[in-house]
Parts: sequence; structure tokens; C-alpha cells
Amino acid sequence: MKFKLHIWRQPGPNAEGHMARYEIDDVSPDMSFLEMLDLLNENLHGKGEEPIAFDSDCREGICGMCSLVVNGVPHGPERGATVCQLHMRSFGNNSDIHIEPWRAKAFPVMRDLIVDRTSFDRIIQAGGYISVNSGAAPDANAIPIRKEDADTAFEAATCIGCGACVAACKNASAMLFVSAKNVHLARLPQGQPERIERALKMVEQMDAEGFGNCTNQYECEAVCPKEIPATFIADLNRDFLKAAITK
Amino acid sequence: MRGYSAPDSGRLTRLFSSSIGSKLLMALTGLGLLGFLLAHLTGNLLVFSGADAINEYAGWIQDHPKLIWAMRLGLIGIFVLHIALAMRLTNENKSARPTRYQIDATVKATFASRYMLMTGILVLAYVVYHLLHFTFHTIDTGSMGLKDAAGHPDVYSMMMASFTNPLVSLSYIVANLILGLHLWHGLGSAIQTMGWNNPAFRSVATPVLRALPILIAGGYIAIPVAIWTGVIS
Ligand code: HEM
Ligand code: FES
Repeated sequence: MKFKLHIWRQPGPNAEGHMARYEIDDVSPDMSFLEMLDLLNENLHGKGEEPIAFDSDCREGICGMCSLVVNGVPHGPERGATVCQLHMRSFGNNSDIHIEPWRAKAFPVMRDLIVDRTSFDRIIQAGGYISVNSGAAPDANAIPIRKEDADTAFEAATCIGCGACVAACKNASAMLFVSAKNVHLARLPQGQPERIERALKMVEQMDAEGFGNCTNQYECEAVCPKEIPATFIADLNRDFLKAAITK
Repeated sequence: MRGYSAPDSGRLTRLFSSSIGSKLLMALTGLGLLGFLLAHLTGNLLVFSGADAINEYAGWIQDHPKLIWAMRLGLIGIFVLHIALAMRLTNENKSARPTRYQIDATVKATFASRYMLMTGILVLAYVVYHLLHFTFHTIDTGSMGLKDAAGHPDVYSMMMASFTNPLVSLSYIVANLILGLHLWHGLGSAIQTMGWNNPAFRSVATPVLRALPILIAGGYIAIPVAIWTGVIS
């Protein structure tokens, strides 16, 4: 397959960026999107040009490192998949493909397609944890948990923190991410002692990082590779409002 | 980062300076305006019961100036708050993405949700026009400021004179379609913001949330349509 690629190039955090055009052929339909970029980088390297910087690690949809906006959609056209799980057969032969980094004030571009997502880490550090004594692991199933709660907590815990929700949101809001981290702990008994502080601290950190305000358009839910539902945002709203009024 | 154990006096400030708290205020003021729309519509629909019914209602309003002024001031306050918050939140949202995408795609956001500020501003323009028309009579479409035989304000004749004019009717119809669009997204959005969006609540609330904008816009639109087409004459 052949493609006409339009890729954001930016040498550094404070440098000017632009869309650069590349042609690529000999692409197998079975290649993943990132393998296609690897091939492009080999070609660029061969010609003595600077390869394109992009993030990846596991390449199997579990680490949350890959972060490309493909034709305006974070992680590209396939639903419920990361861009590392996307195959080139999803695109028409000889088509144009636009590749951009996540765009948000709280995710500054470091180079080309790589953005700094440590704002997410700071939100987790602010409240996305439970405090436990280390030592021997407790017995499994020692605390009874309703099946529905366990399932919901697990669904929330599948969030890989990639930031596609922020990238897709018209307002660059981080509500889906924060809500997943909140629900994942708030639905379990172990998450109860810090529940109030957690909602407050995570939302305050989220606001301080410069993410936008949710307008309930659910673009986040549509692009989430783990299909985290936006109803979790309602849960976060309720937890936060209760905390802000009572605490 | 702000501390989370703020003293009591700072609690409201903390709430309403947060993103979710501002959204709550947006939702509450929006629902307050919705309450006004329902009350106002109920009164207006009296026109279907004839001249005496609606004129008597207008007379009753005039006889209770204190109540009406309290309602008006409250309504203005809510309206101003709603608009001020809309401006602040929109500004923050714009600055949260300083660099736009070259290709801007939309996967599932509805038309109504994407043009909330636009429909809101058009509703504001409509409110100004409507006040200049029926409240201040600056826009004179005939039979304005008259009294009926019982000494009540003759709202009926004023409505008849206005809405037999197709252009005036059309402006009210279009304005209410836009208002309906604002409510179409706004109501569901308010439920989500207040944290009530869960499967159990949704199964009951969804039909209501869908029906309300249609009933409100449809109810207001029914009046010019009925007069224009001669159903009320
Ligand atoms: C009769 C008049 C109005 C009614 C009944 C109304 C109702 C509502 C409701 C129920 C919401 C949902 C709140 C939420 O998202 O939680 C809302 C949101 C909003 N309104 Fe209004 N509104 C009115 C007038 C206006 C005006 C005059 C403006 C602007 C100048 C405006 C701009 C907005 C904006 C920007 C939003 C937020 C949209 C979003 O979060 O997606 N509204 N309105
Ligand atoms: S590289 Fe790990 S999720 Fe894509």
C-alpha cells in the first residue's frame, strides 16, 4: 500500500512546528500504524533526515504510551483500540493521512508527536491512591464485594491513562480520566476512607493543570480505547459536589 | 494547588471556583430559567381559552407588583449569572487548547451540544427583542397598551395584532426552535453535571428530558401558528 502522510514536526518544546508531507510505499496492509511509522523512520534515517519522534512502549494496547491523532481522531478510526492496535488495512490505498500530537495546554508538545503527560501523574499523586500498610498481602476474598461493584471498578481500572479523552474533548477536559480513576477506587471498600479527599484533591489538581471544563459532549467516551463510559463522570460530579459541600 | 480543607467561609468560593462547581451553577441557573419558561408558557397558553382568560391573568399580574418585581429581579440575577458563567467557562475552554488541530473531527457530539454558546446568544437576542416588543412596546405591531372592557390590559388584542403579521410570527417560531435546541442539550447536560446520570435514573428521566424541549418550544410556537392560521380569531 501507498500513503501520503502529513505529520506534525516540531524540533523542541518552544520551537515552531509545522505539518510536513511524506510519501511512503511498500506498506503491508497487516502492518500496525506504528510499524508503518517505523518504516518511514528507517527511510528517513537512510536519507540522513531526522526521524519522527513518537511515543510507544507495549504496542499491544495496554501501556497507554502511544498517542497520535489520526485524521482528527485520537487513536484513529478504529473504535475501542489504541493507535498501536490499528492496522494499515483500515485506510484506503494511496489516501492522505494526517498525524498530529495530542493538543492541550496541559499536554505541551515536547518534540514532533510526543507530548508531556505528567499532568496526569500529578492528578494521581494528588489523590488517586489508597493508603495501605505494606507487608504480607491480605487474604484474597477476605472482604466481600458485590459482583456489580467489582465489575464497575474493574471497568474503570482498565483506563490506561493515554489521554485520548483530553485530546478528543472540544475543551481539552480531563474529566473522563479523572472519573475513571475516581470510580475505580470509590466503588471498592478499600477506597472508602479517602473517598471525600480523593474527589476534591484530584479535581482541584485537574483544574490547576489547566484542563478545560466538561460540556457533556462525550467525544471522550467515543475515542477511549478502553471504552470507559461517560456515566463515570456523573459519579465523579456527585462525589466531588458532596465532598465540596460537606468537607 | 489550593488546600482541600478550606475554612467554612471559603467553602462556597472553593466550590464555585472549581470546574465542576461552576458547571453546577450553570446547570442550576439553566434549570431556574427552565422553570420560568414553564410558568410563562402556562400563562400564555390561556390565550386558547379566549380574551377574558388571558387578560384577567395579565390584570392579576399587574395587581401584584411586589411579587412580580421579586420574580423579575430573581430572574434577571439568574440570567446574568448564567451568561457570565457561560462566558467564563467558554474562555477557559478555549485557552485549554491553545493550538488547534489541523483536521478537526467530531465523532459523536450532537449539533445542539456544539452550538450552545451560539444558541444561547441568539436566545439572549430574542429575549431583548421580545421585551422591546411585548413589555416596553418599543416595537409597535398594533393594538399595544390597550385596556379591555373589564379594565384589564388587553394582551389578547396585542397578541392577535402581532401574530397575524407573518414576519412577527416567523421570528417567534424561529427563536423558539433555537431555544428548543439549547434545551435539547442543556437538560441532559444539567442532569449529568448534577451527577444524576445513572441507568436507573436515566430510564425514567430520558423520556422527560426529550419531551420537555419539544413541549416548551412547541407550546410557545403553537400560539403564533394558531393566530396566524386563524385557529384563534
Ligand atoms: C431562557 C434562556 C435559557 C435557558 C432556559 C438555558 C438553559 C440552559 C441549561 C439547562 C443549560 C445546561 C447546564 C449544564 O450544562 O449543566 C445551559 C447551558 C448553557 N447555556 Fe443556557 N439557557 C438559557 C440562556 C442562555 C444564554 C442567553 C446564553 C449565552 C449567552 C446561554 C449559554 C449557555 C452555555 C454556553 C451553556 C453551557 C453549554 C455546555 O456546557 O455545553 N444560555 N443553558
Ligand atoms: S504502545 Fe502501549 S498502548 Fe499503544
